[in-house]
Amino acid sequence: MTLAAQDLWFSYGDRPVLKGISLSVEPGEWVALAAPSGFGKTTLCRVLAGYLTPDRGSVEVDGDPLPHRGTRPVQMIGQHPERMLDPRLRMRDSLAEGTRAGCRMGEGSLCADGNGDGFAQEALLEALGIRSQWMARFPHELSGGEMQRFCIARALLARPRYLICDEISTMLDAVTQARIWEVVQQEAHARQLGVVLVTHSLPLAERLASRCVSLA
Amino acid sequence: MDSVTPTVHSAGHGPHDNDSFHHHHSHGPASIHPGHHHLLTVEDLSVSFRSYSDGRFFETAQVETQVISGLSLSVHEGEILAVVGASGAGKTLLADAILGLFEPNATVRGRIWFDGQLQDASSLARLRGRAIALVPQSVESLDPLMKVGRQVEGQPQGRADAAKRRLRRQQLFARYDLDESVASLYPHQLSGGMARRVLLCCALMEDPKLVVADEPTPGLDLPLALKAMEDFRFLAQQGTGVLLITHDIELALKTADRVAVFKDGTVVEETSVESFASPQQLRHPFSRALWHALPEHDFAVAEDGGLPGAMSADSGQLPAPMASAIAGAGALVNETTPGDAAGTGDAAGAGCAAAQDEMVRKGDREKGGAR
Repeated sequence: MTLAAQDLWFSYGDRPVLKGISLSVEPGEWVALAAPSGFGKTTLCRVLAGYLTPDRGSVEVDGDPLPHRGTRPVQMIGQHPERMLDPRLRMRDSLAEGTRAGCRMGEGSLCADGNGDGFAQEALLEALGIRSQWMARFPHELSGGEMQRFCIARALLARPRYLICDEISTMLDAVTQARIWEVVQQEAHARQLGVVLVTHSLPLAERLASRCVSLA
Repeated sequence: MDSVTPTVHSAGHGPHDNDSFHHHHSHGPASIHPGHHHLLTVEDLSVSFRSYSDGRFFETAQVETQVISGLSLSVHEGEILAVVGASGAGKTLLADAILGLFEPNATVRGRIWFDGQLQDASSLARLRGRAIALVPQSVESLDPLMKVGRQVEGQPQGRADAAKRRLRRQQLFARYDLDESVASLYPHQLSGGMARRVLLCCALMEDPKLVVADEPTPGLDLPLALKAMEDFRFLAQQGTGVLLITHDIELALKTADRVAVFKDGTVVEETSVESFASPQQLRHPFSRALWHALPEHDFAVAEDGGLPGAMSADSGQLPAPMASAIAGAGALVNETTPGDAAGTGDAAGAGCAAAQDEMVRKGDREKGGAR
């Protein structure tokens, strides 16, 4: 039961970024990645979540390679929420993507109508501070922090086993940051998610991570 | 009234004591305040948007949503004022208003003085990019189809100007540790940190009097963020006013002279950085909530009404089930992780600190090389 990356190599054109990175994350573990800007933290996150295919090496989830189709058991929340949301979908439709993906992950009894566990979803949205009047809006009508809450909700609704958090709270003020992490910690604990965490803030890494991995 | 007030502002005001309260704000003993001259004064600014309410298609009414109301702040010459507040509170709209960038469905009211002159939309538009420059929030502000070097250099007028601009761009790139080869990259090839530095270079091309930096540091690692802050400080020492819009209160406290605490579309407290030494010195509950929420203090979600804008605006208080959920979460975390916090947590902390130290040293070496 591990998210295991073995000897990952990745390059953009002829510029190598990842050179033989290996990493393993256990369920319930919080791993912080530390490296200077431009060192491939985001690239590693994208490879782990299956957005990018490594040139060499493999990513395995609980012994199986990342699936090419269907819902991925590794969900990533990115640094730029405006890039992670479809600009032509209203926010409720972006959220529904997560709900549908979560239903396909097989928590079936609650998802018979394809709408997911409405009550749990409601509680999650409320805990993240998502207002109902944002649901009908498009991404450009929300602030970065508001969009990020939707990205976090979407990732959690997809029922992942591992969560990749790439600088997810850099656009949030301190109060919202504390609240959002409390929600993520609570969810991760309840479902024993393995979490990979990228942050430039040392106090935050020390608060959250149980292990720190340096890429440099 | 408006014909009189600008002269008052261009003349500035006399010297004042520490902590004297004037023009809606107070100063600390170390505040930089040369010439007592307000470079930028915003008074009673309000921004609202017209939109359609939810409802049946033909019956929907236009509604006016107030986003910023009664906002006042001042930036002095050679000073860094940090505007700190909840995300979604309208901080970016404040920047847009100062730059004279208005959405077609926006209504903006209030008075803005720049360098003693009362401004309107068209005069602000003329100052934009010259005397007032923006460091935008999103890397999406770069043209994805244009090479970075040309974007920073801008539109040259003749060959001499082109050479001058290229030289200026090269100096700026050197100052920000950007390799000359970066100039021939496209925006999507930049890392998050590089893109932010490129945006900073764009803003500094025309040697502005006031720099409005809208969230310039997310995505920068700590040494680079501190370096960006150092550069704002350097700009301020040259007499440039810096309006630093950020949610990152730690960084604001390290860099700025004064902090304006922004909440629910207005500035609730504009005060010196020194007031943040302890929560007792802060006047407004939200300022205190910010202090308590910092990871190095309590990492606590506020209970005394200083809630993030999202919830407080409609309800003013947490709905009961959620409050209990949060309390539950806190208990849960505290209960199950004492071992972690004591054992692995500490070990992890040390690991992160070591990694960060390494990065800082690396940053210092690079800086030494570049300067």
